[in-house]
Amino acid sequence: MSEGTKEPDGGEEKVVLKTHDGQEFTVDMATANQSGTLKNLLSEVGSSSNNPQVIPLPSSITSRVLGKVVEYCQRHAAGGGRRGGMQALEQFDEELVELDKDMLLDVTYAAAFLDVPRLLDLTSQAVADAIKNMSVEEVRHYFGVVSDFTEEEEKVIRSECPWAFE
Amino acid sequence: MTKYEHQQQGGSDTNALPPISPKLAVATSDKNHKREIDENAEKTKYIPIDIVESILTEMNPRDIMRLGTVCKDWRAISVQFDPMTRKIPWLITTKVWKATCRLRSVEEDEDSFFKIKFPGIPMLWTLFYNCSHGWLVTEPDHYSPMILLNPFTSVWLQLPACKPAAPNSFVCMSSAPTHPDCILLARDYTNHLYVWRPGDESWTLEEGVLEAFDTIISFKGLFYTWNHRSWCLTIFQVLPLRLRKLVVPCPFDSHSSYVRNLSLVESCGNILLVCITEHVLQPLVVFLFRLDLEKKVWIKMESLGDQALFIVIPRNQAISVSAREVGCSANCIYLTGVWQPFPLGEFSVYNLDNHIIESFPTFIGHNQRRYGCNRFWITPSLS
Repeated sequence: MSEGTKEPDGGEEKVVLKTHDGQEFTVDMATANQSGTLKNLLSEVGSSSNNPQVIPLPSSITSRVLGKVVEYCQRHAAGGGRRGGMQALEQFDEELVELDKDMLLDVTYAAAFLDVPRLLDLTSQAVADAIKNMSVEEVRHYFGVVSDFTEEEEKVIRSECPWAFE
Repeated sequence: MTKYEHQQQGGSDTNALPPISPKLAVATSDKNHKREIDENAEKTKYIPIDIVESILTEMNPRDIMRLGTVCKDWRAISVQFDPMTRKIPWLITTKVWKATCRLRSVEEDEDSFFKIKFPGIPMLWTLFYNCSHGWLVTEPDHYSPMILLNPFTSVWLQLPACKPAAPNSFVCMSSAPTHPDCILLARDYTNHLYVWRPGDESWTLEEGVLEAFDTIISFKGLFYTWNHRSWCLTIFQVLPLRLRKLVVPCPFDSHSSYVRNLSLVESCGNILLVCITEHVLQPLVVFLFRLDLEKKVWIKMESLGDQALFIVIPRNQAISVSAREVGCSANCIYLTGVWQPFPLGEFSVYNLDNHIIESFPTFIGHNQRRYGCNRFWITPSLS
């Protein structure tokens, strides 16, 4: 991913990201290269401005979610050197993850699927902040996870690290 | 386990996403088949496990371990972050008559700390004066026996009661007290040596008196003590007491400066002597020496190499770790303790490369000057 921030390739090459709900996002290569998944894919199939590659995305990445990811990638492809420097970039990041729960998890998933490491860090931190003061039961509810532990097994874990449950 | 592991796989290997990439490629070459990719779409609220890992890495160890009870998948991840498996010492703060302690991580870019309670211990017995092999140790007196507590497992031991002739000061412990070969030494006002081993129902008084010393360590089945005034290095074993005394001259000028802390420590198979002195102009000067037992001299060392030391002032104890292995700064001395004269914060890092001290203040909201607050370095132990 370190090469993902390189200069746009003349601004010529474009790629079209198509969501399941039919929306198309046309982005330049510098933006697409922020995503490890797209970068690998495009290095194999290539793309050009006349005949841009259309990449369909799974249904979990809705146009609203992809909009957020593209916004992030475009901003970070431009880097901290423009539009107000690193401080502005940090503020942009902060505001980007001010999302409701479902949206935050969907963007996290999209960041993992599209392999955008720093976006994944950013959203993971936001999720971690949201759940850190929750009870275990509340966290299960937050993620829609059902416990597959028996009562006995849960007791054993608690007794193994009592300091974590005080 | 790094937080980037799954991302590196995706970034460096074009075949890292086999179920997805080929289908994407197919879909892009033939738009009629693009629905194929949707078969893998996530319709339920299932959270992929690598995302759970990514979220947990952003949390402190206490929350990570707590959330290990969410479900089995989460548990599998949380155990990788178990602080018990970390080899880096934690800063532990205990308070008089409080059945809780506070742990703070010294790792860079991570200011995590959490509280541990120890249920069951009588409050009057929680004045911890020492810490050894992951166990906190109290000093015994006529009213209370010596207590050993492992704060991570909440296991605590009550050593034999103090009869009229009994030890009143912890000296040294060769291993965790749950280890069958452990030898625990204590002494009384007259420097008589008392021994306790796991299973003993009373202290064993050794014949003979141990000469006064500044610092002691257990090394390869023997105990070593040294005194900077008498220059006496004593190597001994107990039950029965066998002593070997050597004269190893003091390698530093002990008259012109105030010796704050003198620790023997084992480091990479050597015995080191770490001397921390205070001068009028410099708050802290550190000398390092290595014992040459054959020539009976201390050899000056300029650097610890990859090692880092964790020292408690003025307890004269030290832990040596490989910085690379545990993830702290190499050639540095991590200092803590209870001191008033100079503002060293809650702990400080003395860099032997450039002799710069970096101090880390007490976390906001915690009363630093509170009486009876004791700080130690603790390496978590499950035994």
